[in-house]
Amino acid sequence: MSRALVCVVGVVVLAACGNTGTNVVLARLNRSAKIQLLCADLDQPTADIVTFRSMLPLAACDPDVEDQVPTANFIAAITQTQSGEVAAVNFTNDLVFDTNRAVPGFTFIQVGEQPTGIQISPFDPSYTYISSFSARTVQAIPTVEVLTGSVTDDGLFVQTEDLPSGPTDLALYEAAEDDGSLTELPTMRFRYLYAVLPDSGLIAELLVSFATPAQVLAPPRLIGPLPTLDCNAGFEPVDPPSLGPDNSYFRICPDNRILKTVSTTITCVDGSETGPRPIALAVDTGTSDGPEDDYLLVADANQPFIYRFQLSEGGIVDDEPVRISSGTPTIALALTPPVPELESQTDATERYLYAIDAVDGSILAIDYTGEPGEGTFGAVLPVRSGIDPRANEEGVESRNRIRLGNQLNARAISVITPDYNPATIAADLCDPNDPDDSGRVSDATDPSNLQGVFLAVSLGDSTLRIVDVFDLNAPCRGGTCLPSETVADQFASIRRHRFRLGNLPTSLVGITGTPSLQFDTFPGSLNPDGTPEGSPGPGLDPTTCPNSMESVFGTNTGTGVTEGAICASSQVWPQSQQAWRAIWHGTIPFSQGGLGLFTDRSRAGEPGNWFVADDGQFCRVGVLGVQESPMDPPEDISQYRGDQLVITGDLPPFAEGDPDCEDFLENEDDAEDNPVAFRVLQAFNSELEIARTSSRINPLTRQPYTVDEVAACFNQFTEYEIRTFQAYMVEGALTGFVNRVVPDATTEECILDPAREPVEGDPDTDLNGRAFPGALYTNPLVSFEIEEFPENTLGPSTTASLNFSIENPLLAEAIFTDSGFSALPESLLFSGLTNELFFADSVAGIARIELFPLSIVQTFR
Amino acid sequence: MRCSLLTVGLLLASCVNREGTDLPRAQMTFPIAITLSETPTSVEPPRYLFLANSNFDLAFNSGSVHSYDLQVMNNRLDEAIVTDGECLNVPADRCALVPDELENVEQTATEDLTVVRVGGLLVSEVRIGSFADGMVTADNQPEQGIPYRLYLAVRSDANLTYIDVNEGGQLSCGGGFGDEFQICTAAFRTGDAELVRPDPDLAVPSDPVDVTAGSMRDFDPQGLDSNDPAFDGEWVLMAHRENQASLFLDQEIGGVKRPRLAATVDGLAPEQVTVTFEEGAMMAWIPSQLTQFVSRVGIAIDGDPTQSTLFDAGALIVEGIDQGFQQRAVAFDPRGGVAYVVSGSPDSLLIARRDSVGDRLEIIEQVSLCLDPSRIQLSEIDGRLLAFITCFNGRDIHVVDVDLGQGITTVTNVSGAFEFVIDEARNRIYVADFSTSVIRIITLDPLTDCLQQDVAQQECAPQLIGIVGIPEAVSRLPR
Repeated sequence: MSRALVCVVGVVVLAACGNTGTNVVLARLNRSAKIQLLCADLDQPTADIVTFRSMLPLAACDPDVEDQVPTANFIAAITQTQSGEVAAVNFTNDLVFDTNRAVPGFTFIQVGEQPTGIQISPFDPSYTYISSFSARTVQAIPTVEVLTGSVTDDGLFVQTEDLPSGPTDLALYEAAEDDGSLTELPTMRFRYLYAVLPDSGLIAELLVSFATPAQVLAPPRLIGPLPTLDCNAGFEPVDPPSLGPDNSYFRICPDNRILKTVSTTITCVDGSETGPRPIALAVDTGTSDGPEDDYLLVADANQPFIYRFQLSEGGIVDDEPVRISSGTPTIALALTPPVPELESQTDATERYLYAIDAVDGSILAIDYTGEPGEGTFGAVLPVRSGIDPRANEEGVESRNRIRLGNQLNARAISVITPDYNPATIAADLCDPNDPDDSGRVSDATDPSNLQGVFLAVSLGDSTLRIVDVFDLNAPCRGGTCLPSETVADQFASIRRHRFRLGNLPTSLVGITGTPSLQFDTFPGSLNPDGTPEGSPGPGLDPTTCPNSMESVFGTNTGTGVTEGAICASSQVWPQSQQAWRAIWHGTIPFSQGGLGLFTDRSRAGEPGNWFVADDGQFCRVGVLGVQESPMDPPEDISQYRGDQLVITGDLPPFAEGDPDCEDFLENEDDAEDNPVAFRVLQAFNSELEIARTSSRINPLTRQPYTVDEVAACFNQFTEYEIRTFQAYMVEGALTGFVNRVVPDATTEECILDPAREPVEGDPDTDLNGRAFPGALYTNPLVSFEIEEFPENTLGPSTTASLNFSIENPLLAEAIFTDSGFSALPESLLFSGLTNELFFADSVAGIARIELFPLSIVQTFR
Repeated sequence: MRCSLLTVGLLLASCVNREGTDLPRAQMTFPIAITLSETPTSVEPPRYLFLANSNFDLAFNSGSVHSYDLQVMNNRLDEAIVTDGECLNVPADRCALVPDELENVEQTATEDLTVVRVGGLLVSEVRIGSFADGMVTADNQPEQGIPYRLYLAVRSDANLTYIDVNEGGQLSCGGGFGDEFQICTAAFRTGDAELVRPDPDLAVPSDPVDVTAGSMRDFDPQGLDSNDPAFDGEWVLMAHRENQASLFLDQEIGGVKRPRLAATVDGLAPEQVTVTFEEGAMMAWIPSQLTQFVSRVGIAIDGDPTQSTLFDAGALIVEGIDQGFQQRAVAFDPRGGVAYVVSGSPDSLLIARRDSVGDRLEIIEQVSLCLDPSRIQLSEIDGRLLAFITCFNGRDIHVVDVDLGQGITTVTNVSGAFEFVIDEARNRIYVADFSTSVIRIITLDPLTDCLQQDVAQQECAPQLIGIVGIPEAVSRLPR
């Protein structure tokens, strides 16, 4: 069982131990999607018997409040997308509301078809507002009807406003004359609802007027359509700062560990269509009491922008929004409150906007500090050192995205702020030296105890993970934080915008087992100094580790050791437990195909020796032809003489009896040690220009086979693969074959991406999967130097491969939200009232999640 | 559920094709596959609807294929449900069009069923082996007087069955086009009776589950307008339940045009369920209902058919979802770029990159679906590309706007919804109701109206407007 699994299972088990209120009931919910909270004074002895008395402000359900209404019930209303209903569940008594006892099973109130948004005021929950996509409406439904199926006689009634197209999200912006009463609903100063209409590129603003006795939903005011923009029109990115020890928030123990400064390029990608597609909303209520710094934020699922509208008591102030150049379409937004810039500070000055990337489900962190045009407001921040497998596979920048696992897409995000008040940070910070705070110091060492500001992320695999923003307990993590510290939390690792680490290991990044450098038939055990044990082949040449890397194999290893035979990134967030291998003339992963054909003309008609392959994606997988300054042997990629095409299939049936093809009868077997291989002169995505002669010697003529000779025997579709030439192919089991090969914008030739040139001293930019003998090899995660082959040891059938495994004992904090069933997360909602997170899942229902410690305490299905 | 039923059925398969009760004429019996006739132009409505009956409970000694006249079907149904029609004020699931050829209707129909006898509805029918499990027409255009073909995966024969169709929608598989209710001859039920090239080791694998087919011109480097005779004819790709696929070429050789087995490939995924051809990539995707793999099979056909082959183009692992072990069907966005994968774990539509280069399906988005989704069809309505997904156990058809990743509507209470086709010209869906052995006819008009921006808000769900056949109780299934 993998360590990751053990850890996650452990977390779940621990969560179960702390679970005092779990009550799983039989399935009643059907495709839950979005959730809102409310408080009501009622009795509900059974699901279908409700004695309703009154709605209460949400604060009346605060478990810590004095003078609580004894019959206050803490309730959630949840959209049911497939049935077009809104269901309600009662957290107080673990019951679902069944609105019609005459109908067998559970009945919920019908709303518009395909509900996409729900809002309930925390001050006055009299109405539940629903947006419905297919009905193209926003409805105001008396909340009592959601709970009981009927409306009491107090002037409330269902109101429906039509929209020009289907809304996909609904936001509420309001202010109340709140006198703190827990029994009386306050007077509302104003209330607006906002809906986004992706089909028409519009934002709809609906004013709620408070004419006595009813609250009346006004017809929508339509804002937009938003302008049609793309990466070439209107994209004005802000240069992202490099973030390192001096200007970013972190707590790393022991304090002699390296915190790498991370930079990123600016990237931009458009959606698949033309035009805006506003898809999701977030309301920023600012930091002041007034509306002067209130904004409506709009995610665009097709254009690389996030829009910001100024709000006021009169609604949207200016129909022309400020644009934040996010560089990618987005589908969900979450905004932090102000937080200190550095761990040593207590002034909350920084804000961050998180967004889910519509293209690949990763998360962007955008600087939201200050105002547009000031500082780096709007910059998409560097949040990752190292390389992400999916980004590598898709040939895009890794460093400006938060990714919480390979192929794991974020489904929902929510900023959570348990016990956080930006005005009282100094008092609320954990003080390891305060003798009166010893209990808290002890609690603080458990990473699952969350106090501060975090981003909760619900992933497609049903795990809920946490991204660190500002941890009130950070000062109490890691003991003394000195290298001599031995407490369980000695390797505390917190860094802003990185996933929270959830275990307490006894070591850091290292190597498992003993590396080997196999040479021909010699197993190739390596001594700590890199010399091979009992092998005439090459060994490893100890080197100075690149910046931010440390020795994991060598005479000395560990924190601060920068001379080693194998070095690995010291940064615990990008490092995964994975095996690495470097294979001499190794096959480039996923370069294999079966539709290869020799031809004397390229697709464009250029004569020469060509190999076309309709199933090839040579640039995507990282194939290269001859580079600018070819050298023999090459020392770096600029001197590379090109990969080699290897024919791996057997002869087609017609050629099996041809004496000229007899030498290829066992070609599939020969492909390993005596391959028919041609050097690649130029690579394009589905065709290669190849050398005229192959590496295979014709036993009759003792000359290399020519293309024509080989093509005469393999003149049908043939199987093939691409191997490196005079180089090792380096591959991580998870990371894959690191490369920055892209098609040239003009010629479509596979080239090294000029936008991602290596930066000296920054291994994050060494996006290279080919290691050359006698030259230092570095990629963002590991580094080593394989010696040149000793004299007279290198032949055409030489095999050599370096194998080692990196381990990273630090594992992500995670809980499973599927409640033992399959899951499809839909949304998250944080309640500052109860310091809890509420989770809606299309399949698994809803869950109530405590944050101290992080654990599911109540579920409904 | 369906899988377990199939298993039960297969246990009884040894009895297939034994002497026994003859299948009555026009009788539907667990319809399992449905397809429309090809049309010369995309705007012209299809003329015929072909339905494969699986005889799943082995009540009879054969399955069958029906050919229905869609014009007769739809015109008669329209008459029945308008003013003074027989089905006015009759619930749609109680309004049954019944071919004249079906006997003993009075004994089998329940009292509350309004039976509308229709002459000319059933154009033709032929008898095939039991447990058909996939049917396709070749993707070439029917020309005047030249028959084209239906290809079926028939599990009891463990082989490819093919049936000729003439311009009048009549079927022939060994007899003449006018022969009534003929039994397909062995030659039409053994696609591997002849091989493309001599190879003693080449044999069609067992347990075929689905077929897809197309024109050999798909592989002609000169394109569809080429006249190269080497690319005359059709290719047929068959998926087999356990790990395998096979390729047939239907070309005229020595004056005989018939499918011939060209190649097989092994080592794919277990519990394969459907096969979908990816145009332009020369490969087909075959999802597995038991694993995280979506197999991809490369098809290599060039000017010398004897050299044609299949190869394993690499499976894609479905990762990052919970749990991803049940992929059931695939559709490709006709605009390129994206593949749509129906997953049963969880019930969702995976919108993924079509050009994943690694071994993992790169999922862009995941959309919630109804319970137990099974099959998918794409259709563009009012400028939107919509995915229609049937949910067998959920008894629903879910409609998703794939660009928005947004559910549009759900057609509920569709018993036995499984295989279906969309008649875009008539704005209707025909669902093969496996559970009750009828065809359900559903109008898309409410959905079309709903999607048009200037129409007032209303329910968008397509509506059942009638059925074809007499519903059979599910209790007939073997227990």
